[in-house]
Amino acid sequence: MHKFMLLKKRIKILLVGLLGFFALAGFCCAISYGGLGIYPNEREWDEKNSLTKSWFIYTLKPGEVEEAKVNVVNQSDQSVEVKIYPVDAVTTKDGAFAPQSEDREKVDVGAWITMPVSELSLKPNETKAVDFTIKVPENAEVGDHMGAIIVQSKEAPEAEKGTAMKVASRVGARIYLTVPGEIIKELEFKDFNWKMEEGQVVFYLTLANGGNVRISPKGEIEIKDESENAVDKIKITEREVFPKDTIVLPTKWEKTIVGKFTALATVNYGTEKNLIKKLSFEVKSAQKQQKTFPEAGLIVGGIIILLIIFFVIRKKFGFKLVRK
Amino acid sequence: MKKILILTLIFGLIGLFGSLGIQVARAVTTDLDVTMTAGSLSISNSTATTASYTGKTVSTAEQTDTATIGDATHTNTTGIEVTDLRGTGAGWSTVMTVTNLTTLATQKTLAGSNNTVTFTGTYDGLDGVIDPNGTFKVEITTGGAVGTAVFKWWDPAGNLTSTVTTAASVVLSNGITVNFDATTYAVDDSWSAGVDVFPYNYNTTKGLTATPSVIYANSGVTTGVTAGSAELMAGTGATSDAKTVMTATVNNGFGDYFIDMGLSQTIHPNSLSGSYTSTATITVS
Repeated sequence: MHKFMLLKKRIKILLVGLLGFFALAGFCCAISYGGLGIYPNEREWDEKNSLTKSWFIYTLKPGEVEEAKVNVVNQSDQSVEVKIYPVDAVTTKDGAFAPQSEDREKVDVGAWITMPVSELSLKPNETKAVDFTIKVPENAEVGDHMGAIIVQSKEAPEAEKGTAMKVASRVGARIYLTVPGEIIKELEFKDFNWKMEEGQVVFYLTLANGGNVRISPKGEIEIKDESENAVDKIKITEREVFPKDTIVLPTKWEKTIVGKFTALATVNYGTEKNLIKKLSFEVKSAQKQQKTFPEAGLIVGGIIILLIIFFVIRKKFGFKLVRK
Repeated sequence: MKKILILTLIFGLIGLFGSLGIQVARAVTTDLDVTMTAGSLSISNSTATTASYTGKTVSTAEQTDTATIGDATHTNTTGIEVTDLRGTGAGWSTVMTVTNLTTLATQKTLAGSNNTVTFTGTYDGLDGVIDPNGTFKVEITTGGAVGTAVFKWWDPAGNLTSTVTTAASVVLSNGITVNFDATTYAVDDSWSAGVDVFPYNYNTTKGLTATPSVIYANSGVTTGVTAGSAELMAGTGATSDAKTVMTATVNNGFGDYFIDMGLSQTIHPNSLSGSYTSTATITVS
């Protein structure tokens, strides 16, 4: 009787502990979730182009002026003071869209934008609309011009004692502005290379944009063995090449295996002409393919089900493993 | 008892399916629609506001120090968080820039009795690695009170600037300011402060290597969401060029994603002792 009471008490403590744990876990999730957000104001949206809900997309002639509005949102449960400013945009060397730093000199779209405010106060979960004006210079070059409106907390991060890197975060709404005129769309596939990285083959495609509009190249790499049998086909990573820029696009061969192969890379960019390059390579050792979580789960689950079936049948029909 | 329970279960199931059937029959003429309001793209680093290096002892040999933005567990909600609730499938990219890891030592009085001059600010490290370490040096050339006294100063590269009038604060260069307390200064009074840098781009093979971890989807799937590759930070300015952290291609990246960033920094020999700091700025767009 005493043991039963003790067990009951322990179960009670366990249940209260579990409740506390889950309540605390919920609280932790709540404070870690949410940050600063930015997106074009509803009046900028074009229902025919859903991307206008995420980015500012304009076609403006030299000398033209566009009055626009951006929404800034504080998704946290604390008030925040923010800086808001326009910048030019470039890409990283592997072609990801990268708004420039606040301290970088503005020479393109960032320099064409004026904003009446540079700082804002936002209450918890508050959204504010901010006006800005884009004035395209008379001598603006024909083609695509990229930039962003950035929002960032005014509060600078505090470094811990000792040697440390402070981390600040920003969020930007992209601006893609096209100055109409003679559009030149020209991509050059300059180099096709490969490297072994952490037991996997990584292909590098060097692509140069000789035109005046941004290009999002698509394509694939077909890998064949020595007997010309197709081994794998991988899609190239989707990135952007800005006008007069060159990127080196990495594409991983996730299923790298040992052997001698040829790789044929085909790149297209919305024209009839495909750009093709080929290389031969040899993999002497590769990373073992690890079982993914779903695969491992299926195997474990399968074993458990088989064991249950085995024991049910054994109980039902009274099978016994008897040694003769 | 058992039979009663079974009968109750059977009748219960009949009742349930029967009523469902009636509901379906009733609902056939009802239009159902829902409007989902778009949210926004956002970023948060509330769980990764600093990355602390392990710390090293000054050495005659080159060393490497490491740190992590986030933590070593890559399947949790610690690290850089990107949330896409726009519902447009536009895709997004997260990139990172860094500044040089630098320090500013406490000033030394080289001549005179006034211990009333201080150096403040964050050194930008643009003079590169100087051996022996770089110093800012200030020397009074005309005596008097603050506002009357005149000084000359040298930057870490040894460039001299002459005939500068003292003030409570005077901006020198490379992010450093000299501050004169209210007192009377004499000719040849002199002070210095050492600065040092572990550059993000020490040379073409050394500096700061940033390695993004695998991506953890707290909500959503990782299809089409890829981490950038391990890279030595590049650039020539006080702030590096941007490096890819993670990207989501068009029609992917709906949800809430976390990533950590491993840092490996070259530490040059014979450095100044003290705390070094730098800033990483993570941008999503």
